[in-house]
Amino acid sequence: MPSNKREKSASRQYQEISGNTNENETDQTRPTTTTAATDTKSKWLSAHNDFVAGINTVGSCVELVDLYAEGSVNLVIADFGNILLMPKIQAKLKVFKEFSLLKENNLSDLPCAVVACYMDTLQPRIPALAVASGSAVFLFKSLRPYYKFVLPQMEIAQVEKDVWHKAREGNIDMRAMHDVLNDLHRGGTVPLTHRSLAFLQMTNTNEAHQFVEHYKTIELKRQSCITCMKKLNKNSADEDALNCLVIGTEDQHIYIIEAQAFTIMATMNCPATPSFLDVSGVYDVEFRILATCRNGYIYLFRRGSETPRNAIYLNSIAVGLERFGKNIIVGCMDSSLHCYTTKGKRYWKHLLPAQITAMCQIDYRPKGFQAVAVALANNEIHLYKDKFLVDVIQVEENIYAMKFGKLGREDATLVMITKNGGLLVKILKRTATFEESDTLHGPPKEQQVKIDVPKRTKLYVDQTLREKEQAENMYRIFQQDLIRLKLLTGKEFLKSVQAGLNPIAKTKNEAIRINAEVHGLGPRFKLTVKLQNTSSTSLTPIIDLFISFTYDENIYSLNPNYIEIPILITGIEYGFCTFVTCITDKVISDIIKVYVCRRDSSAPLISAVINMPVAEPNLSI
Amino acid sequence: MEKKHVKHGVEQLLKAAVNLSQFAMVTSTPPVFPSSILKSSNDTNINSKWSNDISTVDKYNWLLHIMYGRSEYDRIQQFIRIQSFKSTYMTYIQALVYRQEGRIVDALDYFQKCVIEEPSLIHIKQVGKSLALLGRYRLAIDVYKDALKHAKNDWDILYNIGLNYFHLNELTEAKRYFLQALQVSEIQEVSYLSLGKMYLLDNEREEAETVFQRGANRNPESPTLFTELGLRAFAKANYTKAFECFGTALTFAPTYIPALMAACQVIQKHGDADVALSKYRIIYRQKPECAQVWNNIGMCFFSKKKYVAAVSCLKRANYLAPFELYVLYNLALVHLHLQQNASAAIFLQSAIRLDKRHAASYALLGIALSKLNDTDNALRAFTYSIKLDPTDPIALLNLAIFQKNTGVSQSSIDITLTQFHQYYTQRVAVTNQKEIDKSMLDVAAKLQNLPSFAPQNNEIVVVPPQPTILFSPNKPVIEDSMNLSKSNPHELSALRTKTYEDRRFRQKQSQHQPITSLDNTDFEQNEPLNFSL
Repeated sequence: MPSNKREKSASRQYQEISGNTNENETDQTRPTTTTAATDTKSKWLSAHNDFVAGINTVGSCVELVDLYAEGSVNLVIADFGNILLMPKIQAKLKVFKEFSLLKENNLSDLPCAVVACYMDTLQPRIPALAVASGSAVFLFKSLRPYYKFVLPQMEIAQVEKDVWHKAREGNIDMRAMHDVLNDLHRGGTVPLTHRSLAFLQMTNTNEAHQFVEHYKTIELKRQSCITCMKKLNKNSADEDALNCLVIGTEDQHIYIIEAQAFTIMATMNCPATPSFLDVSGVYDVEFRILATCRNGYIYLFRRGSETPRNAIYLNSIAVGLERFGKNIIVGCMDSSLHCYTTKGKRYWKHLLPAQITAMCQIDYRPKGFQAVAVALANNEIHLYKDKFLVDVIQVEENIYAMKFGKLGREDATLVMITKNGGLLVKILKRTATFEESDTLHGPPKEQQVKIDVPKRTKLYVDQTLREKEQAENMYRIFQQDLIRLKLLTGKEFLKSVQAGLNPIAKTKNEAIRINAEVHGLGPRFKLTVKLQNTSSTSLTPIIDLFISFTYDENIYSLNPNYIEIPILITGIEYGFCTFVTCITDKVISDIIKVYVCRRDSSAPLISAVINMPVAEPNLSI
Repeated sequence: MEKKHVKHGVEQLLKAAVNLSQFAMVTSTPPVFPSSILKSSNDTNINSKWSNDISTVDKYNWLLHIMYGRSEYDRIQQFIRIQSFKSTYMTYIQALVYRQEGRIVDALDYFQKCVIEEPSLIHIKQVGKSLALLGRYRLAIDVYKDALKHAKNDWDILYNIGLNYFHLNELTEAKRYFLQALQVSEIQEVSYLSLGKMYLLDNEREEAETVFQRGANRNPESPTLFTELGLRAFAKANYTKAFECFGTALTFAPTYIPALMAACQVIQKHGDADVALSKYRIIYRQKPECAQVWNNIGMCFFSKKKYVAAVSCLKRANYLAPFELYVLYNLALVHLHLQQNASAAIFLQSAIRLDKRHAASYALLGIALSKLNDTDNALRAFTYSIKLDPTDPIALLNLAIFQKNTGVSQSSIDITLTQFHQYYTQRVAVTNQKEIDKSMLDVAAKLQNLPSFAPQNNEIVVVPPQPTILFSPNKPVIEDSMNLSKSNPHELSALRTKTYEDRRFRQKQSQHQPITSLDNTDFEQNEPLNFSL
């Protein structure tokens, strides 16, 4: 009884602690929400929920733009369709007006980015849509295809050109072609074309032959692909000023392309393939390009230099990049969110509760509210203002793409595309205010959870009391029993060693391991006895052994029931077989004992007991 | 003319081909991937395969990269499977996915395939990493050294070579490479951590501390470096600094377990079991089956005098880690307090079975046995304990009490007591004042004064039969805390979480003596703590 009381007071103590240390945490139902969000109403109105919209895209393919210069912003989404039906491309450029599909254009390949840019000086300001896919940028004006810009071709080694030229004329054999290309691949300074690489990978001559036959007439090309695209204002910082396009490519370049005549104005060399870009400034004055790359670095480029000014190493792959003034906010694959200065110093780092699936910038001018929204794999969207978590939005599915901005006539909307293709739109309430509070650094929520102290039973308490009275006695008996147990164990062990009953025999210079297997369903079984000489001290093989069996002769018959063992060499496992036939009609089984004996001693060296399975009856048809 | 030239060119090419054919035979390894993969795709869509424009086979790499970033492994594999041409990047991503799925051997195969197709630095590094993951450190080092030829100043390669040498237990080499890595890039916290660990393994504590300090200066938000730094300070018994470091670590990572454990240790040292308990909850949520946490929770209850809860927790710790010496020792200690002497003796026997040279356990066993009226064995336990560690004042004091109770002559008690005084002053000189229980002196004084039967000692004369019961259980408590604080520095940083509980010594008989200034300081020490948590 006293122990129970103690338990109770202990648990009361817990509650007191939890109460004291965490007064500010009142809302238990939504543990991850912040104090700012504890007022029961969310700051967001749900404007549109369509979980079966069937849109499959990424953040860079969502754009909010006033396509017709009519004061109402359209939602433009480049939809991949089902990418797993691959040779068939279902990609579409979809334009929504007020949540309803206004128009859609088919795309020839999967788009990797959509950017709305102004490419003329005409009034009214109607933007064009630039859709990057493969190695080309397609421009749509008023949703009609208007221009296609293709990345410049890359250099091809002369030798390679020659080889394929020869192949077309038919005066080079497959083997020589392979060797020359392989040599070029290993030693060459210019990378091979994909065609040659694919050829080198071929293992089957016949197939390689077909391959060459098919491709030899087609022009040899080496072309890069676009990995990301952003826009940059050309000569003015106005929102509707002329733009240029900034394109990151697979071959580790960043191109700045003038959108009027489509000339490459600047080329930058990136040490790795860029995956996300962030562009700020004006091309004619000063601009910065941030590029997160596949090697886990962020590189910073500035006007006038081809090589990066600064490099920031992330420990992981970036999954999103946003910038506020001089702060770079980058989300990484290891579910961490970092903030760096452009100089490369880290301001802060947060470990988020789940993986990041999408990120977007929230810039709500009327309220001067700037934050970054981070969608997580646990169906939450966290809003970070500076380093503070200011809001958590709960959604029903994983968000794979997000965009914040004007939509229709609404100023502050958050467009979200879910993992399964849903389209969600939330509107920020006009009354919403976000308080900066340092919620991340409060005590962690785990601190309130009680420790589950194991309970003690009444029996235990009784025993305790008894022990207090009779400690001496108990101890003595315990000691005696312990010693008796040890003695008994020792005796039994000795017995088993003497009788060769344990599965590993160890004498002074020989050690044998025995293992037996029974195969078959019966009534005829195959019994395999495996022996291994495991002695490590001496390398002399063991000879003069035999195997014999004891069994109930009314149940089984063994053939042979005596096996001579010729020799056992150290380390090798030997198998010896015998056939067991069940000769009884009854559905019973018995044990068979296997003895490995020395010819010169009567006691077995080792033995094994085999529990035989019940034999299937002999079927007579 | 031109034709001739071309012909000459072909001859040259053919010659080169013949020369190279041998080489190619050796180097162009047979397909690393099962050829069935290729074949199946051939058979299924032989037409579509060759109608594609092959020059832009890289066009979906960006999508794979994004999908990989979101960990959509299944979708990536499906997507790659349906591609008719596998670009190098697809192979690379497939290898990464395999690694994420734990199929390192498959990943290695695919990375090797990448290297054959395109021997770029990133691919070579991945091969090295896979080899290291498979435990083939020598090969990994070779690969990384090969990679060094591509990029001289890549800290990542240098760091990884160092790490591989560390795994091979070639510490000097490892240290050399870590130093190089730090020269190349000064901000990487992993380099500092590993280099510090090297110094610790070489027992160069000062060096290690400087490295950690340098790292912490460059990475002012690194919980790991600050925890290491704190542990160094803790090992030097500089608890204020240690606590500051742990506090800094916890400010940036409030649930970082090593820092939490270490901070709790300091808190417990100050006797603030409640705060420590509330912090242990955080760890408990993350690691509910960690024996060390249960042990420490149990000792928190012990210092709150909730003995039954303490026994419950310790028993769970013992259940989870039956071969932990300290759990057994603590269990024995709590049982001694509960006057379950038989249990205490049995737990101590288990402890001794685990470590035959653990002096403290023998001393405690001496007490337990003396209460079980097994005086011969008790004496042997005491003597053996003192033989193992002759400098332990507590064991000496307990022996003196034992001698008193068994009626040994006052002269031999006095010998024990002089030894006790000698080592007591020694220990006071080297350790923190707070860790030594001053009441030990009083007890010693009483023991010394007993024979005089001086009237002022009247009350104590009455006590003699009980001293062991009253005092002895308390002594080992302190003893243990010292023992632990000594043992801490030896702990590998990898085992950092195993910072065992140092029990606060609670005075049962504190009626004799007002509680020292200890408790006041406790409250002061709490201030930084609350802010840090």
